[in-house]
Parts: sequence; structure tokens; C-alpha cells
Amino acid sequence: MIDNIISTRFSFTKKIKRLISGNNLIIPISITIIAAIIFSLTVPNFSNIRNILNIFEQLGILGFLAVGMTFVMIAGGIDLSSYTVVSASAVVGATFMVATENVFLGCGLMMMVSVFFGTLNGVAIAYLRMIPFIVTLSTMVLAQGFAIWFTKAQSIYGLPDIFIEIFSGRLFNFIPVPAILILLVAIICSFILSMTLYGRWLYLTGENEKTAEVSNINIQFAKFTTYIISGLMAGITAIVLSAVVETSTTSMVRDVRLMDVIAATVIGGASLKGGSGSVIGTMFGLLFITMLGNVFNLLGVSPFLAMIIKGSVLVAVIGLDVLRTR
Amino acid sequence: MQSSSFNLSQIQHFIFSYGFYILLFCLVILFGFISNDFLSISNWTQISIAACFLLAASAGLTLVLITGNIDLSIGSIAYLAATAVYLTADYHPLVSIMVAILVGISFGLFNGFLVAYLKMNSLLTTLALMIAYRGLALVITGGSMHYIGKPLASFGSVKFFSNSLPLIFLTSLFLMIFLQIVLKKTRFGTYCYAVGNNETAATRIGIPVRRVKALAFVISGICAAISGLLLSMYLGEITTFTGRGMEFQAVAAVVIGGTSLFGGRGSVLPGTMAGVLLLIIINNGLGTRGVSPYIYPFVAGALIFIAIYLDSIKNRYMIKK
Amino acid sequence: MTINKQKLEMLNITKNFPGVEALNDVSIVANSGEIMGLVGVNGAGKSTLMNVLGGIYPSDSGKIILNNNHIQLQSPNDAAKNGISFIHQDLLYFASQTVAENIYMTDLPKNDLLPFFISKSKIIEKSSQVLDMLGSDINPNSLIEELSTGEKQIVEIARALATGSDIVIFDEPTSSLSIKEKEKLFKVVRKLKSENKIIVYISHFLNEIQELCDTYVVLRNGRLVGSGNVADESKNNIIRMIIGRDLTASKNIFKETSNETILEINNLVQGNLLQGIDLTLNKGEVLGLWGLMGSGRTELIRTMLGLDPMESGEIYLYQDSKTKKISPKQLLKQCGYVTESRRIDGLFISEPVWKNITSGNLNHYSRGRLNLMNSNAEMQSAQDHIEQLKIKTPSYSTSIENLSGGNQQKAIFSRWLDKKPKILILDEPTRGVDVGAKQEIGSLITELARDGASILLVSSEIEEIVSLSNRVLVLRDGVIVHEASGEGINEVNLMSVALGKEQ
Repeated sequence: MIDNIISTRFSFTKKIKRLISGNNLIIPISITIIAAIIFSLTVPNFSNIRNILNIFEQLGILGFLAVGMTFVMIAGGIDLSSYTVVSASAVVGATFMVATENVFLGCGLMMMVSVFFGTLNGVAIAYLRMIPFIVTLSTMVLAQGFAIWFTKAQSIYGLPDIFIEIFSGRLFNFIPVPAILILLVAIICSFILSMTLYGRWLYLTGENEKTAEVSNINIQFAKFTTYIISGLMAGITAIVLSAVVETSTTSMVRDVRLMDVIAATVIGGASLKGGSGSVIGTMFGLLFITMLGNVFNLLGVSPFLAMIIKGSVLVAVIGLDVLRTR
Repeated sequence: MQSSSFNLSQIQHFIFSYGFYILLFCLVILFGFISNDFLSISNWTQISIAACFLLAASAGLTLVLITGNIDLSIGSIAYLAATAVYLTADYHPLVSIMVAILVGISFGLFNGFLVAYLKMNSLLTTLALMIAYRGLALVITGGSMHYIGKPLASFGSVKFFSNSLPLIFLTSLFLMIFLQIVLKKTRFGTYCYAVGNNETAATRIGIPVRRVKALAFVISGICAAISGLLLSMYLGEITTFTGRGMEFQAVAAVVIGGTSLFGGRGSVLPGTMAGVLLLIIINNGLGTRGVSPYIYPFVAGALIFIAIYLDSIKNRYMIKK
Repeated sequence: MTINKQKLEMLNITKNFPGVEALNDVSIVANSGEIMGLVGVNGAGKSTLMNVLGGIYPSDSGKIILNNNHIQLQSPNDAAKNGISFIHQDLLYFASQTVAENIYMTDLPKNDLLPFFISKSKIIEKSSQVLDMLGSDINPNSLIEELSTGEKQIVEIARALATGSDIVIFDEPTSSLSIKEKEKLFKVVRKLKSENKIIVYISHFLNEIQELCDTYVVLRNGRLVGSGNVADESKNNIIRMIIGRDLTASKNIFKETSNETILEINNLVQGNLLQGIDLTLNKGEVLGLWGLMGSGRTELIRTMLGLDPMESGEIYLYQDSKTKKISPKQLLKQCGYVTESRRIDGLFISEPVWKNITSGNLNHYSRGRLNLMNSNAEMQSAQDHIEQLKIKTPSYSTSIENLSGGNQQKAIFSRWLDKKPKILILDEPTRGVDVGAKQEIGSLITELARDGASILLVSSEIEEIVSLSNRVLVLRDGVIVHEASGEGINEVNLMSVALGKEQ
């Protein structure tokens, strides 16, 4: 072993380096940039301002779920239910809003429902020590079933105009509000994960639960809160999405999107085992996936073919992740 | 070693092993009391028809779970197999059957290759493939409904002991019996349990672990294909909903039936069969009561919850020893 | 069984790992009907040599010759084919399956009528035969997970026999066994010897080597430093060969310390093992807790600290002249705990050294309402610890998995030192650590006690206990059977207590 003691300077550049945490971010950032370049050169209308804004608006919708998933996966879990919880929350809040025109309470209700499901997950996984995959699988079914039962399979229209304007409008007639929201959320969450004690707890818990416990980290709390956050994110998604599509339905986020979200986090450096991942990485990963879908659209690729390609891309990503960790 | 007196851990042991079947039995009696129709022959014919598609797919899935993996692509493989049946509808039914099974083998082989040989995570990989496979089927079918045509529809509704056991149910039953025998009586079956129990040990002593895992996926693929085959034969048509969500129901049934998510434990008969029956019976039982169809997902979700909670307790209980 | 005289030669075996020379030109010869003891400290190369023999990895150079045939061992399969069985420290078994299936897993007997199927009757019959041969009364039909550790081990040995192994390697087989089970094991090993097997027995318990083995081989720093017949060599000479110098008889040099109690535990009960433990720890003392594995030491600590559920018991902490009853989880907050197996719960293996060091004291490094982490301070701390404990690492940001076992252990020590706890609990603190680091850690422990820390030292290495403790508690089968202090702390006394009335 080299017996070196290197003296170091704790400079600003080191801080930035630490934020990018090794080579974990090189992959998502580079493939996204490369893809962006290729697409803008080869696909007509891709670099059109309207299209770019479209991409960012989409980012704004799935982004929250992806951020939530990042938290969960860093701590070593997974949340398969977030996409149906969106529907469950949306329909409850929407029904209320349509009936009472009270946007504030409507949104509040959406958040409450989503946090409820998050709590369900969190308690089962963190405190009852059940397996995340199956727990969130059954919550997914539950939330979906709830949404269908609540609405008797009907979609909800007639959401208040104010609601739609606030959450799906454009700031300065230009930047989509969802994009701003996701940017805010991403910055805050990225900060929490990389700079705070809580963030450190999550990474260590995901890396090795037992060691974390011995180190006096409250692993139950760490894991529990990640599912609450995931729930919160689902709630935000419910709000934003309902406003954007001007309706609340029983399947607001299609199951294929779950794949997109997981792909985004894995591309961004997260691992099923836990202990790694970042919001920045996830967002780039999501950008990549979104651009891919966008390009399929522009090229007139059948949505079914798109499914095949996206599925295969995810498989390839997982395969690469395996190689990376070997 | 345990003492021979009747103590708490023995009661616990008994509950873990048999409690579930007792529950099932009680449930049947309960529904029987609540509703007159429940115990009728026509209702049970209904139940066995509804069950057989899930039974076929779950049987194969059980093997994959025992080896310590999971296969979420079975619903999509079922759809692909059904699509294959549609494509060969003009030919002799035997051709359709063979092609469908071939579909199951091919995609099962691909799954097995990725998970066993490339060491990819089975959960995420089969989840992704679920989407990819479904997309493939949708491309082929154009995303619309298709009739299989008369010959196969009538094939599916031929009954065996006139009015009691439909052919498709018997097929599923035989499949289950066959796989249970494979599990308990063949070398491959013993290897499945060994790989699920302790992969490191299995590798060390020379068990062809990768081959075992891959073969489990192939079997799962075949079973999923058979399920799709039966479904298309019975309904006489395929739609974009064919096989949709079946994977989650199957996982629920298999886990409820006693197969551990941790691998190394479980059975097709009576385990998975009981799990499937439980789900179908509850759905059916609630139906005969005129309960809102929307309640079922709750019950299913709650059941899975309980099943996996018990599974994790069982697992910790075993580790303590 | 045919009685063949076999000879195994491992000649000029060299094996290097990145940065470490694990084996350097080692040659050994083993004959059938002989038990060869393979000794040396951790890291001397014993396991590496046997891993080469077991086909787990190939040597860089050298030959393996079995009965005058040169053999290639590229995988565990190759080893198995050549009749080599490796009984590891961590038993490899298939939990939910029967003893018979575990024994004959690689050679499942076929049904005569239907060759596709396994014959249950045959497998039971053959298993019974093998178990009888080993003198064991285990029921082949029972589920292996219901057996005790010792019994599981015998099943694994049965598997070796059943697969026709002629060479059986034991790697520290007695670490998890009770005294009775150890005796059973010895009986089985002797049985194997009478069946003319070649047996290699790795152990650092010299008493066992003397009792059981015919020949011995000593490795030190990857080289062969001595070999011969056990009967011809004195224990002291062997010790000298192992560590390269005279071991000053581990003498306890401490007087009684203050009677100021800092921690008291009453009647702790957990599971089937811990039947009611009473324990007091005084300020500034090193309390040794000695017992074989399986006696309940690690369970006691884990229960005390709330990592495993405590069924009944009371914990009292004496602070600021006040006695306070606290919960196990609260005790964990006050303590530093170096765990028994760092790979399992001591390391954050993919994280850099500095994160590992600061993980026990994170609150100290967080500032403000948002609890921002002051990573600069963390890294500086880590650097200080690295210098203080002379941890060999390229930098504080190296991933801890790249450090050697001893340095990893030092890093873990640093973690707790950083917290400056009043009570330090050490479970096998020098396991998997080379002799030099062992000394350093020993001195560190003594120094810490002198500075006022109260230390609970749990170890299965009697020399360590004897040389470092002020008082010693002997734990056996979940009960504290003896307390020794002053003159009473010596190997003879402690050993005899542990062996005590069971004979």
C-alpha cells in the first residue's frame, strides 16, 4: 500500500467536483448532450423553440416522480406505486374542486391523498420491514383501484379556470410553469441530498443499512421519509398534470412512464442496491428519455414501436449498470 | 433441537405451513353461507374457467421465484402467444399451438439469457421487457382486436365430462401437476430450490446455476404462452387487454400461495393453486354478492400485503434458527 | 472404500493480488491418513493457499501434483472433480431442503424405473450410510435449517465424503462451535483420517493443532517458515515461527481500577440464548468478555444496544453522579461499537475513507437549521485520524474497499474515536488484522482506558483478553459463569473455567 499522505486544499473546485461525485454524472450528462446534438442535426423540427419548450414541459410532468424515485432508490428501495397514486390523488382533489371551486383546498386534498399512500408504503417498508417491490406493487394496485372506485371509471372535467391557468400557464408567455416548478424542486432536492445531514443519512442507509444502524442513524426514519417524499411528488404531479390536460382521469400516467422514471434514475447513476444516485443525474436521464420519446413522435414512429425501443433501451441501460458495478 | 413438548414455536410452525389453507377453506364456507349460488356447479365451472389462465401462467412463475428471480414479462408473452395464434388462425389448430409454445420458448430463452448469463437484475429487466414485448405484439396486431375464427373458439368450449370440467381447465391442471412433479422429483427441480436457497453454495458445488435459472425462465415463458393460447382459444379473440396486468396477479397468487420472494421455498401444488384460487374465489364471491366490482382491487391489494408481511416474518423466523 | 495411499503436493505456489504478495514460493506435501495443520496469523496466506487448492482462484505460478499427476485447478468444479472438498467457515448449505438432499446434491440418485426422477429411498439410504460412517445420528430426512451449527457442519463433511472426496480442507471449523460440538467434530475428522483421506486443518487455535494434527505447516507473510511433525515441536517454537519472535507470555499488568461504576446491566434476557445477564462496567477500565463463539457475546452486545430486541432487562447509566435508567437505543447513542464482522455491518464499502470515519458522529459536522454538512471539517478530521493511527491509504478519499483488513479496522476505530464516547464496545477488534496492527490497536485500547474511557472488550482470542483487561467475565452458553480479576486473569484459569464442569 502506498504510504502517502497527500495534503489538500479545500477549494471551491473541489466542492463542485464533489457535487458531481466521481464519474457517476459523466454518463448521463454526456449521452444526453450527444443525443441532443445528434437529434438537432438529424431530426426536423427538433431544435424548434416550440418543441424544446414542449420537451421541458414534459420534463416538468414526469420530473417530480423521477425526483421522488431518486430519493427512494438512494435509500435502497423502489416505488412502483407513484404513477397510480397520481391518479388517485388527482381524482379526489378534482372532484372537490369542481364541486366547490376551491382551488386551494382541492390541491391540498390531492397532496393529502398522495401523502397517505406514501405513508402506507413508508410504514410497511420502513417499520414493518416488508419488501419494497411487493409493497409498492400492491399499493399501485390499490391506488388504481381506488381511483376507479372513486370515480366509477369516469373522468372529471370542468376544473376551475384559475387552477388551469396557474399550473399550466406560461410565465412571461414563454416558460411553462411546470418547467419552473420542476427546476425549483430539482434544485431544492439536489441540495438536500448532497449538502445536508438528512441526505447523508439516505446515502449511508442505502449503502449498508446495518452499518448505518450501528452508526446510530435512524434507518427507519430515513426510509420512511423517502416514501413520503415520493408521495409528495406524486401529489405535485397530480396538480400539475390535471392542470395541463385540464382533466383528472383514472390513469393519468400510463404504466410505460414508470419505466421512463426508473430508466431516468438508473441512467442518472442510481442503483437498485441503493447508496447511489443524484437528482442532477436523474434529471439528465429523464431529459434523455424524454428527448427519445419526443423524437419518436416527430418521426411519426408508431407508439407501439416506441414501446419496444424504450423497453429495449431500459434493458440496455440495466445491462450497462451491471457491467459498471462488476 | 426442539423439545418434544407442545410449545409456541411448534404452533407457529403449524400456522405458517397450514394456516393459509385453513383460511381458504373457511373462506369457501363463508361465501357458501352468504350466497346460495356460490357453491353451485355452474359457479364453480365459472371459477375454474376464470382460474385456468392465471393458473397456467402462475405455475411457470413459481419456478422462477423459487430460483430467486422474478418474471414480470409473462403477461406480454401471453399476448404475444395469443398474437401468434391469431396469425396462424387459418391453419390447423395444432400449428397454432406449436407456434404459441415456440413463442414462449423464444422469449423465455431471451429472458433467461439476460438474467442468468448477463447477470441482469430480473425485476427491472423483465419489467422493461414487459413493455417491449407488449409493444412488439401491438405493432403486429396494429393495436386492435382480432377474431381468431370459429375453429379455435369451438375448440375451447368443448367440455370433457359434459358440463363439468372444461378442457382448458384440465390443461392447466395437468400443467400444474406436471410442474409440481418436476419440482419435487427431478434433479432440475432440486437444483431450483438449491439455487434459490444459496446460489454461492450451488455454484461452489458445481450446480449449473445459470442453466437452471435460464431454464426456469424458459418454462415461465412456455406457461405464459399456454395461458395466452388458452385465453385466445376460449374467447375466440384477442384484444389489447389480453394478458394485461396478469403478471401482477400472478405474483400475488404465487406469493400468497406460499412461495417465498427470497427464493428456495414454495410449491406449485398446493401452494400456487391455492393462491390463485383464493384470488379468483374472492373476486367471484364478491361478485355473487353483488358487491361493487371496484372493491376487488382493494381486496387483492390487501391480500398481497398480508401475504408478503407473513412471508417476511417467516423469513426472519427461519433466519433466527 | 478402496484404501489408496495418496499424496498431494503443492509446489512453488505464488499468488499476487494488486499491491499484495499473498503467497511466495510455498511448497507443501500432504499424505493420506494424515491431518496437516496449517497455521499462521490472518493474512499470512493460509486461506489463499487453500483457495488455490479449492480452485477458487488459480495461482500465478507453481504446480499442484496429486499422486504424481499434474492437475489444473481453474474452478471449484475442477477441484471437486479431483476429489478436493473445502469446508468453509461460512457453511454452505441449502436451507429449506433435507439433510439427504444437501449431502447428495451433486449426485442425486436416480429412480430405477423412471430414470428421470430422483429416488427418495435411495437418497435416504445412502445418506444414512455416510452419516453412520461419520458416527453421526442425524436424521437424513430432517430439514437442515433445523440443525445446530455443529450438525450442519457434519452434513457438509458428509457431503464431502459422499462425493468421494479424498482431500478435505477445514477452514477455521471450530469458530462457531460449542465445546461439545467441537469434540464431535474432532471425532469425525479422526474418522476421515482412518478412511485414509488427506486432511488439511486450518486454525489459529494452537491447542487444537496440537490435539488433532499429525503434521504442521507455518506460513508467515506469504512464505513457508516451518513445517514438520507436531509431536516433534514445542508450542512455543511454533508460536515463534508464526509471529517471528517470542511471544512474551501474555501477562496482565493492571491493577484494579476505580470502583466507579458507569454502566450496569441487570437480568438481560433475549431469545433462547441469553438467560439473564448481569454486568457492571467501571469507569476507565477494560472489561474483557470472553467466551467461545456461540456463547452469546455478540448477541449480548447487540441486545444491549437495541440492535436486537431485548425481552427483559434493565440498563442503568451513571452520569454526573446520577443513575439513570435508559433504553438500549439510548445506550447506543452513548457508545462506540466496533462490530464483529466489518464486512457485514462495519463498513460502508463503496464510500471513501473519510465518510466511513465520520459516519458515527455526523451530528457534530452538521451546522445550522438546515443541518448542512461541513465536509471540509469531515475530511480534515479524517486526515487527522489517518495520521494518528497510521492508516495506510493513498488518501482520505480513497474508497475504503481498497484498504487492507487491518487498515479498514483502524478506520472503523477512528470512527468511534471521533465521537469520543464514554463507553467503547469492541467485538473482536483485531480480527482479520495483521500482527503489527494488532499491537497498535492493543496499545490504543490501553491508552484510551487510561484517558478515562470505559471499554467492554469482547474477544475469542484469549491472549488479547488476558493482556488487555482489568477484569474478565467468562460467558458460556448465554450465562456469565465466572469473574476474574488481578492474578486470576491468566490463560490457564480462564480456559479451565470455560472447560469446567462440562466434562
